Amino acid sequence: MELEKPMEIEILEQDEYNLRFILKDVSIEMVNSIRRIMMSWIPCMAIDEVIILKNDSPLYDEILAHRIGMIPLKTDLDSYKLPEDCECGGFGCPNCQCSLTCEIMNDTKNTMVIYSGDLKTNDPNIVPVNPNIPIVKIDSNSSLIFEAYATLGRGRTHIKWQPVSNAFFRYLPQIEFDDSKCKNCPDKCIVSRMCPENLYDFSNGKKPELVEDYWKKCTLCRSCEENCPEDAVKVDWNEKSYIFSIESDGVLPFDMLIEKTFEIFLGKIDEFQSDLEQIEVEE
Amino acid sequence: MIIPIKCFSCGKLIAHVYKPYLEYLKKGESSEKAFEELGIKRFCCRRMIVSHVDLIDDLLKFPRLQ
Repeated sequence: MELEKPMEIEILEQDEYNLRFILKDVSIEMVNSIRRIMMSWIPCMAIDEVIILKNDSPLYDEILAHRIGMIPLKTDLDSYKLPEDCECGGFGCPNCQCSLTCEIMNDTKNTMVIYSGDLKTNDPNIVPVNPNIPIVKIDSNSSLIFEAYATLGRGRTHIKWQPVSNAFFRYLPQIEFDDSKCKNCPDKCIVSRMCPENLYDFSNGKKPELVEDYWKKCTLCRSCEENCPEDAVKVDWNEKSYIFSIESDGVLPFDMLIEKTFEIFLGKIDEFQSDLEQIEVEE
Repeated sequence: MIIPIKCFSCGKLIAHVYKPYLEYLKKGESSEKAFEELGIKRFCCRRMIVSHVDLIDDLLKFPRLQ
């Protein structure tokens, strides 16, 4: 497959948990497949098996196990394998599994909250992303003892294995604003009042001005187009450019995430091609 | 019962924010400001925290059947 132009990526903002970038010169099918691979095909670490030895908390074992499973863990993709690809055949070995334990006895006279930071791991690379996630509350003279096994998995099996909490994209907005038509309604501007993102600046009281970086915020709601009595605004979008936002819990760093996405994407295309060649078409 | 770990709708991690949120409210801040400071932007995540009732404290008073 050859693209007409190479794909362009321009990063808008990036911090620990959010990434926003512009994708240019790609089809919408391709952008959507990138999004879907991010959500359901990238492996990441989560607790899959819990052995509860003692549970004095008010929560049932099943609910407790579910809560423990939901805790996002920092993932090391290089040293672990997916259980189905592992030599042990998914049975559980140090190449595909990491054990975490928790043993807490409440000797104090007050109730006690057990946090994700209380989990002791035997691999320092596999730790909860945040040590302050409450797991349960236990009463005085109660205890909680469990052993948990974290494995790699994919988001299509369960959302605990989803490395991104939110991934979405939208067309790049393009607004054409003809302010010569604004003569007919001086002193008041409905458009600037109706815009939910306040993208029209009407502070001078004469002519509304479209904010320069409107495309970052505009949701393409078309309220300006519909409400302008003079039809001075035209909302349109660029068919080949997208604003892509990814939100992560900190499970995988973003460069790793995007690298892995394209690795899986290319792997899938190769797989599809080799499958196509094997098919014999009957005329 | 106890604050869910992830938002039901979008999957964002929210459990660690509940305690600081209550502390903000105790200080007399509005919940809107608390959410802004804690980085909870969407209303799906906000409703998880606003509508949560921490019943686990009440249940701890009762003896548990073993």
